[in-house]
Amino acid sequence: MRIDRASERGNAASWLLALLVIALLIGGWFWLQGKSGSPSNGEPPADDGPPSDEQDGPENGPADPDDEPAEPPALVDEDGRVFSYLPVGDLLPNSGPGLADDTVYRSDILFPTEDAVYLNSQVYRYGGMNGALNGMNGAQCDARNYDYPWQDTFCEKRDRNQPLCPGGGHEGLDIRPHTCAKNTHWAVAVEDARVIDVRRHWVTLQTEDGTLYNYLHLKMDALEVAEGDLVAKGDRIGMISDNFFKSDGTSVPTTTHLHFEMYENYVASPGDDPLFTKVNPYVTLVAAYDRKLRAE
Amino acid sequence: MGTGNERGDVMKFQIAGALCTLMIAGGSYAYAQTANRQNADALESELKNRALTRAAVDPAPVGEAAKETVESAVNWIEMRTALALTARREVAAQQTATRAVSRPPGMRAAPAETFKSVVVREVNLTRLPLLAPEGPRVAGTLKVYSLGDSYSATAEVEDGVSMRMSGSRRKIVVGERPAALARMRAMRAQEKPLASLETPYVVTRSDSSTDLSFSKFGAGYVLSLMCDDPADARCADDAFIVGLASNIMLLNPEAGGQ
Ligand SMILES: [Zn+2]
Repeated sequence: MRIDRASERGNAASWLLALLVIALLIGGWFWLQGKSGSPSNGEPPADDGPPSDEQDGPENGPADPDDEPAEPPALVDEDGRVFSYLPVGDLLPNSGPGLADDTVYRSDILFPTEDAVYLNSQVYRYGGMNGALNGMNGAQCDARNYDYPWQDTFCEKRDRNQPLCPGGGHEGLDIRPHTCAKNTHWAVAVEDARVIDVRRHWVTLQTEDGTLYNYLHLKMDALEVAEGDLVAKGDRIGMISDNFFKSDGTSVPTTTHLHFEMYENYVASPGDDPLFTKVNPYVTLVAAYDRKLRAE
Repeated sequence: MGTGNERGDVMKFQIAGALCTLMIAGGSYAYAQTANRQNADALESELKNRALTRAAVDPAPVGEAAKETVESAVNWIEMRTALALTARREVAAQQTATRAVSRPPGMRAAPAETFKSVVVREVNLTRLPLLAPEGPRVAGTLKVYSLGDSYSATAEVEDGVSMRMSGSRRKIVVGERPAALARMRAMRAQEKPLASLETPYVVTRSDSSTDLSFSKFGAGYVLSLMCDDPADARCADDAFIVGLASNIMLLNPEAGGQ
């Protein structure tokens, strides 16, 4: 019996050793895999200075002499970055159907921010609730959120179906300010308008043509406008922030961004009965940003 | 009963097992993170490759500009007819109701002077029928801002629900382009009749509001409800907003002359 016990103990020790070696090997292999090819997870971008231009997107540099004729130079922003954008209705994978509407509803509006900005998803990218769906785990200040190309978020998927966004639900565009610093970058009036509502976390403007503009998540206790004010195109409205309140003042967490909405009273032909609904402002904003970068 | 040595062996086994599990789990987590990063990086570079840029010189136009803005002729006669129709419905309802007097849906005159927070001058400036939904809290908190050819009325409706009703007699003509037409057709296909104004309406909803849109008297209108929680039945279901739109006040019944 004692001999049997001793051999049992010997066996157990060998098994232990073998298991440890296997675990070490497996763990080590995974660890090595984990180390190789993983870029550093972007941290908040520095608040000043243009970032280095290391993206593999469209660039403005000299063409290879062996290549086809050189591309014409592309429009750049105030930091010298090439402005690029995905087509309207081209949303992130797993984030809803989008709404491909290439209408420029207002041809002469000002862009709603003073600085260069990044239109992209607050929900399906780094720091968003559903970022993991596209492997975009990280924080909202991840440098990759503060970069071109812009991406449309109109009709981004939420939890209800509706006629304008079948299977979707986000009837606005999300605009990240120039940097991740909140209460720093200004939202401005896109047209001469009247401030017709200041409530909870939104400021609503209306123009003589009936167009409504909703600015959400500004710093509501430091607005530059009040209800009833007439504002001129370019007037500051407030600082882009993360304010999101219920009517009793309870705060709801969200990212630092400007949620921008636009309603139009529109028809296909002049004699038709109009539809007064939210519309996708994406192409209108691309056109306005284009004018802004050209200082037109 | 085991000996002390046996218990020691079992413990060693348990510790080794736990260590193995931890290491494999840790390794798997690191691997999953890497896989995620690689997916995200691949996606980011695919997006960058697909992105469009703008030429610095001689750029092509962006998108398709809306053609023009036109002004609708407001049908003031139709407005007065609608008021008269509601009055007739009320008389008929009172004659047929046996116990409680039922209140039929409709549009009723509610002159601006009757609301303490409404500035009458704003109402008088408005060159289209100025509509807002009825309601006890609405009546006490209603404000109107006018831009002449357009207006908005805002109010608290109930705890946790506020509203904005906007109207415009100017229309943006976007043209007969397939994408715009398809979208408009899809929305029209969802329309239902609004009994109060005898006109079709469509409801759309998003995280920020639930909107009921219709056209009447030549103008376009949208009633928006903003709920603290978009899942609140008052915003998530149509019944509440349709109920509000079923009893509409006309704040400028004298507008448009005789
Ligand atoms: Zn948004």
